[in-house]
Amino acid sequence: MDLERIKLMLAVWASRLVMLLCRIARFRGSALPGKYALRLCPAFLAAAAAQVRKKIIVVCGTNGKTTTNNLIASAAELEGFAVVCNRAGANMLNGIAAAFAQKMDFLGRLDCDYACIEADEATLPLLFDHFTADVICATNLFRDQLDRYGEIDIASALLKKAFDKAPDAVYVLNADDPVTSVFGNDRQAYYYGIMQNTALVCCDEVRDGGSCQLCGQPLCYDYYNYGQLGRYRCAGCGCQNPLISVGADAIYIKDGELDFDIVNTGGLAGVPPEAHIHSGVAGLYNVYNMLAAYCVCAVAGVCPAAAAEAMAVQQPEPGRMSRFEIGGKCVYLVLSKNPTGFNQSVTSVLNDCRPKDLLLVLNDNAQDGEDISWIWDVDFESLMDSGAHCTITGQRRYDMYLRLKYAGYEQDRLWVKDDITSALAKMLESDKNVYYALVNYTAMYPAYVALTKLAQKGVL
Amino acid sequence: MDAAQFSLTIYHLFPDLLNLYGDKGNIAVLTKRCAWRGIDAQVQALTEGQEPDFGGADIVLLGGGSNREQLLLSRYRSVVAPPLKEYVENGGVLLAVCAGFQMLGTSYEADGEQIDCFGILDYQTVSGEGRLIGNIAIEAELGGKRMVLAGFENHGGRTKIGDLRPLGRVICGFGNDGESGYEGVVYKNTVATYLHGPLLPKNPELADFLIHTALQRKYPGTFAEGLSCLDDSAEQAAKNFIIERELKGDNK
Repeated sequence: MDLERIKLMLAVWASRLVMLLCRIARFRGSALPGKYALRLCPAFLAAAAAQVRKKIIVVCGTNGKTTTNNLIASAAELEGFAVVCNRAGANMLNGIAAAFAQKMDFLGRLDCDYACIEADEATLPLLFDHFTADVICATNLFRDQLDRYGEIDIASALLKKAFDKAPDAVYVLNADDPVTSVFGNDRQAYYYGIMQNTALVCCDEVRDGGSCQLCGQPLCYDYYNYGQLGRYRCAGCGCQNPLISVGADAIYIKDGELDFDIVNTGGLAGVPPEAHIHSGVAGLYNVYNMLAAYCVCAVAGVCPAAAAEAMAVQQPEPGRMSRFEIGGKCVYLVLSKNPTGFNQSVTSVLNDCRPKDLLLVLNDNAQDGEDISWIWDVDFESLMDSGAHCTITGQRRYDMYLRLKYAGYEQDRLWVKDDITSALAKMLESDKNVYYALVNYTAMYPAYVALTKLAQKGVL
Repeated sequence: MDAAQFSLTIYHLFPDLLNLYGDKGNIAVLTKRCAWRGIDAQVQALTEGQEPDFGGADIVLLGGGSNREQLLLSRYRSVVAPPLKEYVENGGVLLAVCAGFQMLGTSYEADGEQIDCFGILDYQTVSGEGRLIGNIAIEAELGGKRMVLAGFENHGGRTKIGDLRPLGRVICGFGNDGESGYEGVVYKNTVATYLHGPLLPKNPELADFLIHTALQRKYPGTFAEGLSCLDDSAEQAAKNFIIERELKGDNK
């Protein structure tokens, strides 16, 4: 047995031991086991990836990574394939290593047809030093955690740097995003997009990528779907939405339900001309996630019908519109971690006509992004007309309070609480039956736990 | 004097290019703090392709953007710089934030790429190793009042302001260049700073300085005793949270 094999085995044993200890200690460490694997065997990721039989699929981008990647993994599993997937969204090197280690046997052997890996923008160039992907999906780029990446152009440069390391990959790109669709130039790429102007009740947004990525001229838009996603054309160089292989049409969203058709517009082999999709996870962003997953499946050799089936039974990821029943009241927990995602949450609230109140939780830990300036790019002004009262907590609760104060909310509609338990209690005091909790990244898990406890008790 | 007869025009320069870090917040604070005092505040935007007109401007805002957007902005140098320079020299009130701070200088060398800036003030910016990112608090003096300002900075450029007067001294954070201990620049009624994006919500003293200076300039002889007070307890709570945590060196 050679030294590399011994190191690989040690890495698997160590990470499995850490996983076990985490479980015993009830510590939610999805990345920690991978840290030990990489420490003991620096070539761990390459050795694991080399054992994937069919395809390595990588999903990146600002929003929708976890949902898209998990849909692809579910579709592959429904077809009976063995799959490695970092489902919990631990998307840096350690988390990705942990996902592989979990599926290995104690000799370091991996039984895997498809690896479905979501990767953080900054991690991707590092990851591709270990292995590259066969299929790469970039969902979109929005302003997110600017203090980590500096500027959206830096995130874009990170992706480009990574993609240059994977020249043989097939790319699946969002045709409606002028920032990421240009990655398909000079690469083998398939595109997906929305074929209609959905004209939902929308909020005002600050949009990135307002100028052409190629020539710098302002882009002209026929319409926006959300953020900078929409039907665009550059007056300077003429670049526009690339031709799509799959598109969404006849989109219908009501009371938390979503219906639409996926149309095969580009003659993709093995894809039916039209497939109807129904999902209990509403939101236009979810249409994009599903299109991305569907297109990736078609390109990677997973039956698109399995993708459609995965979508029909899709449960929201924790905090992506998770629903809690508490004493006859309904609370939706919505992860809202950057302006585009937050504005999508605002759109969800606006498109729900039932009377409701809100909980807002804002933290500024490293994983959240320490810069909370982006809350000023969220359209709280549109939310004000809903008449909702807001309970506010989190480390940066006073900044959130100021955001609402300067949006024009009367002070008797706002409460500031020091912790999540008292904030939830305060919110649920009102006579409403519907509540939305909009929380950012590190606030999500504590809110999820607190809401689960309340739901289990069943009474207020 | 009845406040209703007072009005201010806020002139927002290139909001479509320089809007990276929630600059919307600064506009909201200026207009609301005027409105709460019965002062009418209007916002006008100068967008790409328009002729600038500083004639009716009482407070000018220049916000933050990426290097790429700064390069796009430098195309308007010949159109914007002369009237802006005249406005600044005449004592016009100007708040320039982050990229706006850099654009007021003569040039910005960004990773080897030379960006021609507006040259309103004589200083240069050169990008350095790594970005200077984090919460920042500074001790400043404006209009004879000492104040502590807090916010967030995120810049690759290092700005050497030479003999110009800094806005303040760094209490915690990096400031202009990460070494001089100085932050921002003040020239006549122009305030430029790396405290980016929505710096006015947490720093109502600075917002009121801009409003007060603009009012006194437009209506000489009025507001000698300053502006009427507002309840700023939430503003101070947000600011103090940052300062106390940073000074404790506490990692939350």
